[in-house]
Amino acid sequence: MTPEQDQADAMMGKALLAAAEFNQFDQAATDRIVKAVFQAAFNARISLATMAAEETKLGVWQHKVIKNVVASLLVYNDICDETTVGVLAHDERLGITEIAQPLGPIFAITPMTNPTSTVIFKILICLKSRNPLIISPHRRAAKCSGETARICYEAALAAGAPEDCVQFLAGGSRELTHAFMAHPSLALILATGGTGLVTAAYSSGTPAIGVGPGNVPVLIDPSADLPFAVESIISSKTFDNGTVCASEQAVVVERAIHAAARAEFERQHCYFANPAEIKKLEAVAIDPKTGGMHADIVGQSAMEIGRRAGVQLPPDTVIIMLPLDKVGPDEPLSGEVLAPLLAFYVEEHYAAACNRCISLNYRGGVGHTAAIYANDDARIREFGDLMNSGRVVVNTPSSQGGVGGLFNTLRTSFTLGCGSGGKNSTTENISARHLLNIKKVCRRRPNAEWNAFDQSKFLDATLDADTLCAQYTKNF
Amino acid sequence: MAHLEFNPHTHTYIRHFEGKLTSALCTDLATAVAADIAAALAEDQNAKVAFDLAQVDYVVSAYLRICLLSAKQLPKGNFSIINCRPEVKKIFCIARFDNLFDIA
Repeated sequence: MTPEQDQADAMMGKALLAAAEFNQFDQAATDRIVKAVFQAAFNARISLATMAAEETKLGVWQHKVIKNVVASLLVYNDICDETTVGVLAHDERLGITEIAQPLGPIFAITPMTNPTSTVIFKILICLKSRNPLIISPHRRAAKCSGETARICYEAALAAGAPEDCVQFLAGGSRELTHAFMAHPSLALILATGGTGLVTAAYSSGTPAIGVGPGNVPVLIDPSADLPFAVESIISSKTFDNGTVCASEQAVVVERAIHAAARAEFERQHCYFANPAEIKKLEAVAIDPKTGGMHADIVGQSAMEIGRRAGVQLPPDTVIIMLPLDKVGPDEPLSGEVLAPLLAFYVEEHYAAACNRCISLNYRGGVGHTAAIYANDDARIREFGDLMNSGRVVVNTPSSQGGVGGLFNTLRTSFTLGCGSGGKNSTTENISARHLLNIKKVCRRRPNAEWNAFDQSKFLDATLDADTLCAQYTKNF
Repeated sequence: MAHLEFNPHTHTYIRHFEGKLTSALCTDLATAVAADIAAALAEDQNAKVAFDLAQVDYVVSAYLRICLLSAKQLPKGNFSIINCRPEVKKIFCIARFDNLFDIA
């Protein structure tokens, strides 16, 4: 046994005891705990946001307050009336009763970009489903994440939650993280983080719901309300300096409206970089070792990025627009950058614009999120069919739209399922319901066609499918 | 030894519990149980101890910990849970105690 395995064993042992005790809680006791945690997190929304901004040195503290409000108030409102204990549903005609069973201990990996809000969110959905969790924060957000966990845990305990239902893993090494992820008593990994970490979670042998990168294309159709679309995109891309993985990464417009679109972006304080400036920006935004975004650029303001790149910007610049004509490794800025840098593509016609969005979608963002601004139902439907993304948000800021609950009726979540493209088992916004094993008690409801049919006919090799099926369904 | 009854047929010391075994109860219980088992071991270093949970319908994690410590205090295989209600047996299994001692 290594020291890492010893530590994982000790904490997992506590988590198992908490899981065992939690299993006896009824819905009312569970809901009391969840409400207490929501209230405590909500009350601490400002102090936790400022702590997160100071520690991580990224984002905008006021926006982090909003994230904490979404993670506490909106998530709570979304789950508070949901049944997660005992019988979930009963259908007398089908003879099926669904009964909830908690999964067991969950290992919750939380990111640097949304540290306190993701901790609040994961604690709420785990406790609502009566699962204990062990939180493993990003090392650059350990302090604010730990404080969030402490506040929530103390509130949960005061409301009667089992001891050790929330545990916090501070300063864990890669070996320790792996010891947890591969622990035989672990039920699920809820991984929000970088590609490497999410891949490690999937490789651990433990079931995992992981959320990796997005690369959100946004199509502005000629039928769109252009000033509205631009304002909406800016409000999304500048939210917490672009740290939300569902934030727009590239705007795609048809040539017919590109001048108007560009003028509107400029009117609303976006700066269009020239090719030489794009090269300078690439040098600070892209890590040459990985070809992906540089960690130091995440969550910085447009002005700060311009300063670092040596690009002179108008003083009120909110987003730096990057006119590009390629997508792929040869054009690193066509990938995800969680900062107010926004690629801008001009295409000759609608089909070419859709093709560009597909290329962007498949450049590291498969299964995540796509966006369209349009007032043409046919195009909205077609775009939705073309994109390989769990969410296609319409006339909506994608950062806030992907998270749900603010601009649409998606479930409010800080863990966005990305389907098979993102190596997920679901495209849904993850919530408490995904943290339950749902057992089905199946009463006898005989299949009338099967029982009326002479099953010896299946043994007759001369009867083909058409013949057998005709007889099988005869008189039904 | 006041709490442990010796069953001469099974050569086992039995302790009966009842009701909801809450955190408040377990605070004092841990010390008392450990003392009982120590006393049993003083009489017989190969003593067997069983907790009878026939009248128990709820256990907190602190009680599970008491069971774990009791099993460790005794020679391997000499601790068991008996007369468990199904809803309580399930709790011991969720805690993976079914691999550590007999739960019947």
